[in-house]
Amino acid sequence: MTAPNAADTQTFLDAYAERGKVDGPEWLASYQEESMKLFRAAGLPLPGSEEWKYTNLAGLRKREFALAGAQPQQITSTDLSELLICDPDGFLAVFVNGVFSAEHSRLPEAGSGIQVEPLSAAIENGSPGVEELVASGKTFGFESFADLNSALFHSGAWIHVTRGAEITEPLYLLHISDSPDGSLMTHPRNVVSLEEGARLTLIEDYLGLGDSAYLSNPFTHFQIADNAGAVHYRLVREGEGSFHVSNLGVRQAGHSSFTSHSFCFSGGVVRNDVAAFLEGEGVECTLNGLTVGRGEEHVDNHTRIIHSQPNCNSWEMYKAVLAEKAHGVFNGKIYVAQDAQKTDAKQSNQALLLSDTAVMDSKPELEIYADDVKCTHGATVGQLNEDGLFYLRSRGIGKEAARVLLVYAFASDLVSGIEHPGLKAGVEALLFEKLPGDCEPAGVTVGAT
Amino acid sequence: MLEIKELQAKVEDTQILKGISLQVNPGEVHAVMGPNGSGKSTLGKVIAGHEDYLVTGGSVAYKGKDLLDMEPEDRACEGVFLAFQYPVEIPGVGNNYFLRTALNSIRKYRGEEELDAFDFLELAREKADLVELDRSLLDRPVNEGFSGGEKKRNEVFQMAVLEPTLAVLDETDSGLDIDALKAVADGVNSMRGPDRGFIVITHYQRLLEYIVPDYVHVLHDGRIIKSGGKELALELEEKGYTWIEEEAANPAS
Ligand SMILES: Nc1ncnc2c1ncn2[C@@H]1O[C@H](COP(=O)(O)OP(=O)(O)OP(=O)(O)O)[C@@H](O)[C@H]1O
Ligand SMILES: [Mg+2]
Repeated sequence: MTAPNAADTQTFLDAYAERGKVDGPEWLASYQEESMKLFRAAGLPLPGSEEWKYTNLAGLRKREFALAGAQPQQITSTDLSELLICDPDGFLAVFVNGVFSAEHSRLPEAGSGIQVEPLSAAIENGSPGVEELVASGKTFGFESFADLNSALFHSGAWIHVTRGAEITEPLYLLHISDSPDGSLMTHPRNVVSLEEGARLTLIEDYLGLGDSAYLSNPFTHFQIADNAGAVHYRLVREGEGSFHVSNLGVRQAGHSSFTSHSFCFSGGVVRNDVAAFLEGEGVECTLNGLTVGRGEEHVDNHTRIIHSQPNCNSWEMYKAVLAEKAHGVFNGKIYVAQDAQKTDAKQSNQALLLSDTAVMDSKPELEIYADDVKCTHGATVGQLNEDGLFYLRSRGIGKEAARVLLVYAFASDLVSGIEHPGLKAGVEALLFEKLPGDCEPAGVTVGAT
Repeated sequence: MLEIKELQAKVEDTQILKGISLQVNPGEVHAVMGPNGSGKSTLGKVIAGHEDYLVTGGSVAYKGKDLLDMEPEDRACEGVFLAFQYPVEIPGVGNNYFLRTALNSIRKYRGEEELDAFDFLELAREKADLVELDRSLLDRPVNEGFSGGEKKRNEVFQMAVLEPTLAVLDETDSGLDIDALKAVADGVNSMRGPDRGFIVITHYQRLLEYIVPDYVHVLHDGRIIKSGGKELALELEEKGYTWIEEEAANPAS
């Protein structure tokens, strides 16, 4: 490996120096300092490194970024309702350029079984466990961007669900980036913990306003105790000029479940890393992802699922619809430790290419050290089914509408997995908006019921 | 209504249709028979507008228009329907939704009002019952996991809903049990009328006992080598194709 290029990290070091020491406890300052050292030593991922083989950060290296000020930028409530993907019938936390906006948020009341507050406040107030949980971000094996987040995060959400609390309303986190001058960077840190038997549905939505450049570098981690369950939705709706690099870490104790639905609808260069550690028996982990790319969008999904205990299941389905010159990457690692007998792991990656210039690179990596396991994986890359297209057209459906219908059909199992009706309708609308042709959103009736 | 003249078509580099002429008038049922690989399905696909089949000669006029000049969807909107020999599975698209989209697309083309989901469902159920298609298949993805017979019934069901003026049924009888055959034939017969024409491709006389044709044509190696009345089908059933092939090869004898 070549040494990291100091020029690559300079803009981040400058931002760190300029910000100075943040208000807060001593552990935070040393944690951030330590993280900055790690980032500085490793630098940005090098071109040609195995984990970044298909994703080129040259565009990012050339730019300079600055942290947003501590004052939230103004958005009006009418704007807000247009920005949300669905009516937030539960709780809502809005962050504008990385800064929490109390005005637009609706947080649960104390004693309701769920605590949601800006991470900065949780740290300042010394919420129980906050230091350990923030520090646990180091344990997922993520690369330099996670360290960069640890060094520079200002806020994000602190979410804690108490023992046995079943939170039925979803919690919606909206992270808005608005970077008219093309230099903004945000490093939101969302720390989620569920005590035994707790239940939570979390929506993370990353939205960019405008086409200019910015860096969005969120890091979210979950700590899920025995018998607890989380459903997680992640939406990437970033601007055309954006760099979106995210890390999602999950730790699951016995008989817990975690289901993540990730939807990437827009962004310049998008890289999502997910690492799920199945650390108790009887754990269920589901990672689903849908990418819809066009133009010159680049979306790279890297997932790792680590089975270290017996009798756990993991299901993974990532799909990509790529038009024009879009480039999709999927790298899915499944690691099964020697003790993880009776593991049942299924991974599937499917891409639909709508043009000759769209590209998909797919790489499954199975590392299995237990002998009594069921692990399957499959990857397909294909074009629209011509026979299906002709069949639809022969029934009177126009060519464009038939194409849209088939693309929708390809994506439908991921959309139909959304339990929240409003979110499902919102995702469907985005899907149709992104697809070629002027087909109307078909509502939930498209897929077979 | 349909006038095919000296139609020639090829797929990739193989000439399959080598000069077919066939006229279907409103109200008529034409049966097309012939050995495997003779070009029957190709004829159906060319009529429906499949892009893999390149028309290399001849013409097809439909209601006075040049059919070959039209997109597949426009042909459907003008009333052409092909019941596929091998219906295509479309995972992820509900049967009901698919057919409602198709019907509304056709209605829109004709300047008629579109049907809402409720009115459509009523119509779909009525037609499903007509062809004895299990209503639960309406909610499933198009043809996915349907049995062979269910797929064929689903084709006839679609025909009943879309009410074409020219229907080409490509081996809709194969793979059907006897009861299903009757149900399908009843469905077709209920649609017979003075304004509608049918081309029924089949290998078996049995279907033609239920759907009695006005004409029977024998297709062989891309040409119609014999045409006759319904009794021709009986003769074929008895004697096979060889005698006609010989007769066609030696027209003098
Ligand atoms: N897409 C294609 N590519 C190559 N050859 C084709 C294609 N479609 C048809 N053919 C060939 O054209 C010939 C006629 O096929 P067609 O399906 O029309 O026959 P058919 O009369 O319907 O036969 P069957 O009774 O078996 O259904 C066959 O030899 C077939 O292999
Ligand atoms: Mg055939």
